[in-house]
Amino acid sequence: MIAIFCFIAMVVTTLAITAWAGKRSRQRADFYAAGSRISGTQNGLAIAGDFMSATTVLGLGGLYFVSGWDTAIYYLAPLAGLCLMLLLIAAPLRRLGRFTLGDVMTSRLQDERLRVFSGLSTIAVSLFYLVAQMVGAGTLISLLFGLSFETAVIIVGVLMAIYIAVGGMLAATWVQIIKAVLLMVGVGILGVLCLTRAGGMEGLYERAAASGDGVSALFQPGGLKSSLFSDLSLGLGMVFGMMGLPHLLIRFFTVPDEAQARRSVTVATIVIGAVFAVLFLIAGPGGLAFVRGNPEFLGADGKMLGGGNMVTVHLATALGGELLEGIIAAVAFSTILAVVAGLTIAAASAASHDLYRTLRRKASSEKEELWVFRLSAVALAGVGIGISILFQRENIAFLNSLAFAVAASANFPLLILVLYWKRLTTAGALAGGIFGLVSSIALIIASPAVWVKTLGHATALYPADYPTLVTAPLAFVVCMTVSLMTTKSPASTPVPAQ
Amino acid sequence: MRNGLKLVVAVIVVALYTLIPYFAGRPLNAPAFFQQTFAGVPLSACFVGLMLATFPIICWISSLMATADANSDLDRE
Repeated sequence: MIAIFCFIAMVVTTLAITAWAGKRSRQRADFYAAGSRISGTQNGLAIAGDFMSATTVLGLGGLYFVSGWDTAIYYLAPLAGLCLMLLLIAAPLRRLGRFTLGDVMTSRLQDERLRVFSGLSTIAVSLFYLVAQMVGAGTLISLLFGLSFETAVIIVGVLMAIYIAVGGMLAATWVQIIKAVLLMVGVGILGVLCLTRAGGMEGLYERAAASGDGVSALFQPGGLKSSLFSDLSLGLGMVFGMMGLPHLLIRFFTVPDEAQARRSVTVATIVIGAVFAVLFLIAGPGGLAFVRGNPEFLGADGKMLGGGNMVTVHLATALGGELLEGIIAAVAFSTILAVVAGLTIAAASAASHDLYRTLRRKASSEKEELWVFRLSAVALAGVGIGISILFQRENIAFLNSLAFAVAASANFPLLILVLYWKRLTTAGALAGGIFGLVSSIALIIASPAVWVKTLGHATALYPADYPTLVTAPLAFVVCMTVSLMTTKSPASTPVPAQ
Repeated sequence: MRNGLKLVVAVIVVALYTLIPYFAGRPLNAPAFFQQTFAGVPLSACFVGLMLATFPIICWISSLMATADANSDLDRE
């Protein structure tokens, strides 16, 4: 009952924000980049809200439950990504871009083919990520609120279309800020209750170690049973992927200047680091201490109710009863809404600003482009709902890997070379980008996760689940080799973004 | 500040934060590290906690570097 009340309160609040944002968003710059009037601190909170998905909040809790200490890579690698973002990308991105990654890509190499590639790549990455989030959302919401999967996915899809079509980036930003604040409060309450109930850190870890057979092994390495190659590829995929995810990168266009862009990353790092610290050091062992073996959370078959991803929600129930369960459920729901809103805005702006404007081949008015943006947001919601319902019973974890792998192998090398390598040519950029896109998709399909577990073959064609260690360096090599072999475009001098 | 220095810092941070979680234990075959505790908390958890806690400092230093870089760009202009 409390969970349903929190759910309704969240929907009403976010719709009110959307109506408020809709009144303040009139021009293209408002819808795409909130008029570049968001402060660095607000944007930092929004980046944190945009990055920490349901996978972070719920999925990693479940992973810690079975793999223990080895999940550290999932908490540490994104921080390295944020550091690189601060050092290499944040300020130049703000300086060269205006609305989309395509603006940045074509700032030096003024070739519209590059803008089209950037638009397609942005839509592909965002759609992979969107479907993965929506399938997760459907499962989670149907478990939490007793709705059917289809109803849950339709609710999420309709809400995200309304947020973006009516309120644009301003609405998405505030939904993400609210989510980040709720997440910090929710995780903070969980952490305090875990420590209070267990009598401090020592009591918590003793209780966790004593909760079941072989649990102390979870505090030793080897839980993920991965090789160095696989682990390194996963880590690099997360680091480089973060710097190629369009929905995170376009957030830098919402601040007024480069100093605020840098401040954004610092604030995001502090928020993400704090939430990760509580999740890894306290909530993870808390799940073992209070949920593992607790008959209240076991089904008739002896397995956990709702599956491993529900550990964090069960922990909330164990510590704070129905009230805390409702709060954590609302946090999880807001998490989903914030991430899908960010993804939708990235894909819709790429469709209207990069693809429609370029492929139409004649000047379009700002009003016309905004209508394409709104229609794209609605179409994306429709496509997302359709694919999610179609794939609801499939293992879609690979879609998340696919989004990160494509972002790391296609977007990241291009972005770095556009910003830092003066000899990059259009041919080199296109060759490297297309190579990164195709090779990362091909190796994901050939990986054990898809080739063996989803397609049912005996052995995988490629030994690891994550291709970034191979594909990202090769994409750099292809970009640079082709650039050196081709003549530099005469129009490749730096120009301000349009 | 030269781009080369930024790149070196970036490579060090990526190496630290992606390789250490894997290497802390396995290749050294040092399970004792994981069995020891500090105030009841496994050393491995303390270690990750330290990395998470010190990261804002690394980020702050990076921010200073990026700011110095931006200022020197402005000076050149």
